[in-house]
Amino acid sequence: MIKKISLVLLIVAQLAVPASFMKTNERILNKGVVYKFKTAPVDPYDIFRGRYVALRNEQNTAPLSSEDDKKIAQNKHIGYALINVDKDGYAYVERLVADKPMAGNYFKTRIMNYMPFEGESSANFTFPVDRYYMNEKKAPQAEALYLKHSTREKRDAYMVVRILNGEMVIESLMLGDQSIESYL
Amino acid sequence: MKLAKFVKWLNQELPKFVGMGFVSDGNAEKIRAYYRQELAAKGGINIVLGIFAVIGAICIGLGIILFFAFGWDDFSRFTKTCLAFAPLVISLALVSWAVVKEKSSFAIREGSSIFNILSVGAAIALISQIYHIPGTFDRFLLVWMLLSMPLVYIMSSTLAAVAYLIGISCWAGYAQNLGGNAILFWPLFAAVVPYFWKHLSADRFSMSSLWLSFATCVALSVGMGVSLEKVVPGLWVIVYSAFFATLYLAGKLWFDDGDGFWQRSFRNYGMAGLVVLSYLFTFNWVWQDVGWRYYRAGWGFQTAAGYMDYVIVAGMFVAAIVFLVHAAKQKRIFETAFGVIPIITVLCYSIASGSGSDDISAGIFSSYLFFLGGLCIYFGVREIRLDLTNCGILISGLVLLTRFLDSSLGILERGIVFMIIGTAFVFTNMFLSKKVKQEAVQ
Repeated sequence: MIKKISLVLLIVAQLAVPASFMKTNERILNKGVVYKFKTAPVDPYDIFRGRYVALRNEQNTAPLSSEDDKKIAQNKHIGYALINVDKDGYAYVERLVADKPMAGNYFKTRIMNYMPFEGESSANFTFPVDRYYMNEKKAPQAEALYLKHSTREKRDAYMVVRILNGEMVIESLMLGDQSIESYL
Repeated sequence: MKLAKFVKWLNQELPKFVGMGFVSDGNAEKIRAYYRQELAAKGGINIVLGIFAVIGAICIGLGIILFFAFGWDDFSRFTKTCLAFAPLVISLALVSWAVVKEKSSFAIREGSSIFNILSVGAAIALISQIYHIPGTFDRFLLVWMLLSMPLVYIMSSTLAAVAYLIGISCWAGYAQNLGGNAILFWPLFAAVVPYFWKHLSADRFSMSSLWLSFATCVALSVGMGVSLEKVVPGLWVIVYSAFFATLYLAGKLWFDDGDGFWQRSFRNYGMAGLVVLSYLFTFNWVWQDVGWRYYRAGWGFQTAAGYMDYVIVAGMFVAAIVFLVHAAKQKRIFETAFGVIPIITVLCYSIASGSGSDDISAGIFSSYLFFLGGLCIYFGVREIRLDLTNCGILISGLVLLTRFLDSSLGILERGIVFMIIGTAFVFTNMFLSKKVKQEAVQ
């Protein structure tokens, strides 16, 4: 009997873990607000999950008050990034805060390296999305394409993400007005 | 496998016995039938079937993944998600069928368990890939192993336990390497101990016990080192010397009546570990910058996790001493000489950390290892054992050539030393071979 109860628990656990990953991400992809973030992809190799394009957000610092920094340090460096959109339609982090906002658009992030300045102090933050998986054969081509779209004259690579209740999921990686897949 | 070899031999010999009139045809057939049943009961045939089942499960799992990979990019997100779950659902159905129908065959238990473990890993990895979920490899391994561990008990699967031990060792390595700590290795390891103990108490030399013994030796060797936070540099020398001494002495005490190399895995693994470790300790770099004076803190070192280092050091050392005292009380000189390594290591560690000099500690171990080589030769000749004698000559020769002889020694002198060692090898082997033949005749 104990074996059978354990079996039921095992089935529930083994299905629930990947299913919970799926459910959370599906909900964000269906109900989240769309944002475009300028990015700088490179192409490392992850032996276990195949190739992916590693993503780095162009902006990695944002304003932060010293009061919020103290609170964030006590909260294991976890804080929130408030988002705004510039005149070209790209999203950017307007400010970093310690407390979860009651409204507006934001994402949860890890905040470190507080830099105090007389005018306005700031800190580094990590972007919640750091990879875009691709077919093993296509990832190197994707990198070459990115280089074409990252010259001084032409710099138009960005990622499209969806955000819901502070959680972020990537929807597509864009080069100009087309997704990277459409080039390959 | 002893029984299998015996049955093979018996099947070859029985026709001769019948021909000579020792046994009748009918009795010979009865003997054959009896040993066929014995062999099946001991799991000889089952194990072969089990191995094929596991290989089959791995091939099917990999085949499914490659089949999906063929058209992966063309599938919708929904289809990809369904395909990621498919192997997991199939393997869970297989496991459920085995449990509900109470299938106890080795092949079904082990094959379906390995298939399930692979499909859990594949499902998590594929879902992460479909949704571009960020995360580190150590977290993936940890979730995978936690979800796989119950199989060990539900399916009574030894290979699942072995896979789990390999998995948690890899996790510990990655976790420590990525700046975290691997203290969790110990509770994760403890989770599989009752299963190991159950098999050991039932039959120390069963195939399951042997697999688990070897996997435990390897897992502990890896886990022991990587779970150390290393805030006090050099503590690993005490931990590993005590660990290998404990394995060796425990193996001698409880598994010495085993037959062959694999049935004495603790003893052999421990002894090999002690010799390799002692040779490493003859190098000066081991004893440089060790002790409290070089206490480390800051990024990459967690002071709280460092306390676990002291628990591990003390625990391993006490365990080694308990076994050593037992061996010494029984006047087992050979074992005591090997088992005393942790005490010599503590002495050398104290000298190196107290004086800051590494020469004395390296010198002590060079002399000690040379002594061990001599001891092996002495006992090897006395007990007419070629393996032990040759090991002794190798150890002594290695220490002599690499640690005692000055690097500026000329080619002629080196040549002479090589010739002396070679001659010792040839003559000792000739002498002992002759002795072995004489014993066999008598």
